[in-house]
Amino acid sequence: MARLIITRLLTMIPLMFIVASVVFLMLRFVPGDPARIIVGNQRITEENLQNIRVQYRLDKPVLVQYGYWVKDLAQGDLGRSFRQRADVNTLILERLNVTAQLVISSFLLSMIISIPLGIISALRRNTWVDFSATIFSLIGASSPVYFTGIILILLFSYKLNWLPALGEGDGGWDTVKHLALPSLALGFSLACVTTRLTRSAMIEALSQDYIETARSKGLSARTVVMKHAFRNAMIPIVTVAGLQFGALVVGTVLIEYTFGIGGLGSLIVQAVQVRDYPIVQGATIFIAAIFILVNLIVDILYAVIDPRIRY
Amino acid sequence: MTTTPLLQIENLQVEFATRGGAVHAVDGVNLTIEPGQTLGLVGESGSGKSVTARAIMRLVPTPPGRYAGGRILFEGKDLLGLSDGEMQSLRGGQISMVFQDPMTFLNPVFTAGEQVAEAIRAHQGASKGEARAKTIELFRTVGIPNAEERFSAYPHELSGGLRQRVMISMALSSRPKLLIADEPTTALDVTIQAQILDLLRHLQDEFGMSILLITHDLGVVAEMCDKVAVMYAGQIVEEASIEPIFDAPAHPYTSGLLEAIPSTSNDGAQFRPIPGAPPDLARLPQGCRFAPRCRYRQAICQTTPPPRVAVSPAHSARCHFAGDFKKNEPEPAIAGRTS
Ligand SMILES: Nc1ncnc2c1ncn2[C@@H]1O[C@H](COP(=O)(O)OP(=O)(O)OP(=O)(O)O)[C@@H](O)[C@H]1O
Ligand SMILES: [Mg+2]
Repeated sequence: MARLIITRLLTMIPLMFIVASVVFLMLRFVPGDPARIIVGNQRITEENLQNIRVQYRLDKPVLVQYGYWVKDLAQGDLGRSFRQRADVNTLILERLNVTAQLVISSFLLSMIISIPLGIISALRRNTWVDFSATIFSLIGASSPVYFTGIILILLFSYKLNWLPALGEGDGGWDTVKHLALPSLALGFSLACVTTRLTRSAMIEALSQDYIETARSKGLSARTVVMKHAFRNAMIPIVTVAGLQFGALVVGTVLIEYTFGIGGLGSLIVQAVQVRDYPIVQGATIFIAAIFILVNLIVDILYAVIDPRIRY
Repeated sequence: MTTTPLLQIENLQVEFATRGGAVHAVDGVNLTIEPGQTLGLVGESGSGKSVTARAIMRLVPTPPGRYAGGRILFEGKDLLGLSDGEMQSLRGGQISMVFQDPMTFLNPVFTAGEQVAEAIRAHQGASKGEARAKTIELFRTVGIPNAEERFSAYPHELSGGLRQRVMISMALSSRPKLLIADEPTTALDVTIQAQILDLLRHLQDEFGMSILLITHDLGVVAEMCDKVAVMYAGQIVEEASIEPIFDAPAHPYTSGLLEAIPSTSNDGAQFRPIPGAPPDLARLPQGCRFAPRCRYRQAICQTTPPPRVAVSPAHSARCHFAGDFKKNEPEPAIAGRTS
C-alpha cells in the first residue's frame, strides 16, 4: 500500500507536466495576438505593444517560451495573469476555496440521497418506492445541470424566496445559503446515477450465497443488508463515485456560471474567453492534480474494502 | 419410542411462482429426525432437497417462494408459525446449516474469524474478545491448524478444506441441536471430502446433535447415516434405515440410484444410469411421478398417484408395487426411447 502511494505520487509529477505541456502548446496555436488581448480595447502604440510582448516573453519563439515556462514551473511558479495583475497561484488559491466547498457539498449531498434510496429500491424491488426512485433517476439523468439549476432558482429564489440565487455569499451561514441551490443541482444530477448503481450493486450482492450464510447464522435483517451486502456493494459504488468526483470538477464550471459564483470554474471560463493563457495552464495543472489524487484515493479505498485486492 | 422427535416435517408444501406457473418444489414431504440421529436425504438434482433444507431454516425466498402447507415441528413447535424474531434466534442457535461451496458461502470481504465470531456474538451476547477466544477454540476443535493466525485470514487465503472447516465451526458455534449439511463435500477434493465427513461424524459424537445430510452420494449415506430418505420430484419416495434400503430397495427409483453407482465391486458392468429426466415441476404427470422413467411401470402407474406403502414398520415407499416391483416385467424399450 505504501508503495502504491509513493509510486503514484512520483508518477504524478511527470503526468501533470505532460498534461500542462500539451495545454501550453495547444494554446500557442490558437489564432490571435495575446498582446492585443492583454491591452483590450485601449488604444495603444505599436511600441507599447512590443513592450508588452517583451514583458510577457511573447516575442520569443514558442520553444523558448516553453523553456521559460518549464523553468518557472519547476519552482512552483505558474506565471502571471495577462489580464489581472496577479500571480496565477494566488488567483487559483483565492477561487479554489469556494469551488472546493461546492464540489464537496454536492458530492456529499449526492451520496446522502442516492445510497439510502438505492438500498431501499433494491430491498423493495418492483414496488412503488422502486418505481418512484427510477423515475427520479431518469429525470435527473436526462436534465442538464444548468437546467436543474435554473428550475431550482425559479422555485426557491423567485417563487418562494427562501434562498439566494446568485453569488457565493460572504462566509459562514451566508455561504451555506448561497451554495445550497448550486450544490443541490449538482448533487441531484450525480445522485441519479449513483442511485441506479447502488440499487443494482445491492441486488447483485443480496443474491450472493454468503447472504444466505449470514441469514442462517441468525443475524438481523439489518446486519445482513447493511454489513454483509453493503460492504460488497461498495466496491462498484466507490469506482463510480471516484469518476463522478472528477466529473464534478467539470460540472462546477457550468453551475458556477449559472449561479454567478466566482470559483475556479468561472475563473477558467473567463480566462479562456480573453486568452489569459497562464491562468488556463495553471488551472489545468490543478485539475489534473485533483483527478490523479482522486484516482489514488479510489485505489486505496478498493484495498480497504476488498481484501482480495493487494498492491 | 415415546420421545418426541427433534424434527418432524408433516406434509410440507413449498411452491415457487414462475412464469410457467407454480412450481411444486416440495410437495407433501414427511420427514422425522430423532435426537442424535443422522438422516440422509438423497435424490437427483432439482428434486427439492435444498428447498426442504431452506424451509426448515425458513430461508426460502418469499416471493417467489411460498410455504403452501404442512408443518415443520422442531421440538414440537411449528417453525412456520414462529415470528421472525423467534426464528432468527433459532437460526444459527439451535438449528444451523453448512452449505455446499465454502468459497461462495463465505463473505469475501470479512475474515474467517470475524464471520464465526459474529455468529457467537449474535447468539451468546459475548464481547468481541470473548467471541474471538471462542472462535479460536472452535477452530482448534474443527482441526484448523494455526487457529490464532487463521482467525484473521480472509476466505480467499484458505484452502477449500479449511474454508469448509470454518463454515462448520460457524454452524457449531452455538451448539445446535440440528445441523443441516447441504452437500457439504461436493465442492471439495476427494481426499478432503473424507476428512470433512470424518470431522462431522466426530463432532456429532462430541456435540450430540442430529444431522440432516443432503447428498448425491449413496456411498456417503451408507457411511454416515442412520436413516435415509430418497426424494424425487418434490416428494419422499422411499424412507428406511440403511440396511433395508441398500439390501432391498422398495422403490424402483431407489433401485435405479443404487444401480447407477459406479462401483468397483460389481465390475462396473452393472453400472446403469437412470434414463430420462425428472418431470417438469410445473407440469407433473397425472399418476406416479417416476412412471415415465420406470422400467417396471404398469397401467395404474400412469393414472393414479401411488400412496405411501409401508413394507415394514420403519420402511415405506411411494409405489403401487412397493417392495415387489421387480415381479413386473421390465420394459427394456424405455431406455432407448427416453434418452
Ligand atoms: N428461488 C427459486 N425460484 C424458483 N424456483 C426455485 C427456486 N429455488 C428452487 N427452485 C426450484 O425448486 C426445485 C428444487 O430445487 P432444489 O434446489 O431444492 O433442488 P436440489 O434437490 O437441492 O438439487 P441439487 O442436487 O442440484 O442441489 C428446482 O426445480 C428449482 O427450479
Ligand atoms: Mg441443492
